[in-house]
Amino acid sequence: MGTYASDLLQANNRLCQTVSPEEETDYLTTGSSHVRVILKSFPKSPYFVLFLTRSITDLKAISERIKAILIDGKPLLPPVQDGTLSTAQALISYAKRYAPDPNFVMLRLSLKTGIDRIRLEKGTLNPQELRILHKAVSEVLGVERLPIALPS
Amino acid sequence: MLEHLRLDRERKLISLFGEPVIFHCHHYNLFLQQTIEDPDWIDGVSILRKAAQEIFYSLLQGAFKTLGVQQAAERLAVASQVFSFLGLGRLELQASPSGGEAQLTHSHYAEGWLSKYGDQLNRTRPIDHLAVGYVAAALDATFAELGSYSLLRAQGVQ
Repeated sequence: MGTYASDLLQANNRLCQTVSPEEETDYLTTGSSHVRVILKSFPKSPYFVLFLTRSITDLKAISERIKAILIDGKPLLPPVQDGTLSTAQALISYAKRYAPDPNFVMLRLSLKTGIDRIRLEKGTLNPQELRILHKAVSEVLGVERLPIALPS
Repeated sequence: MLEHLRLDRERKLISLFGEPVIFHCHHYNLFLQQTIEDPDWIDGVSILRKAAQEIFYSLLQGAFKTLGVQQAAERLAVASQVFSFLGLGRLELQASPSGGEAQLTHSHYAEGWLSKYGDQLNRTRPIDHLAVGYVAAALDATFAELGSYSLLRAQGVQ
């Protein structure tokens, strides 16, 4: 759930920054007719909190509680580790999250790209292989655009 | 059609008009097709179409011979019946030796794909390559010989 929420926050950030490039977006509210989902980021941090409420819950009534959780929680956050993914790893991770048969994603990507599965998992691909992987992920997911750009 | 299925108990094989047949669900069939379609470095679609054309040509030749059908219209009707009997969908064929038109009003592959992936994925490329091969085989077996007919134009419906 955390990774899906993270994708949502990133998409929200990108969308908002097209309108207001200087502004950092730190929250997102979404949901269904029964459930409300509130994602609230810790400022200047990769961490966020996901709140689930009933759709009828009064947001004003819980806003103070949300604020308190963020204030109380900040000192408890673990330090950010340097876990930067390569573009290839980010593409594969994205495909694993959104492909219809996640158990077979690596095999399918290996088959589609002609790149050995172990090399794909390591993520050290040359620029041409990366382009092939990018196209393969788009096709597996049935989308024209991916939120992960190729390095220029 | 059922009376033409033959069971070889010893070898655990079923055949229809002399051609071995096997029954698989759409999950299996779609996964197999996906595996052949996936690699960009082979022409998977041609492989699927040609394999279907070869196998169904043999099956339909056996069917026409067994049933003693000689007229083109009868043969095309038998081809449609066999297609449905195999659970591949519903096919309406109108053709002459110079070619014709096939309408696939139900498709095992297309409807199977929609039920399995339709909520998650978009797809605009054709999916029922087996039906393409089948139609070519039906025309081959009705009017000519294997490999005489191929798909000229495909049109999808919304």
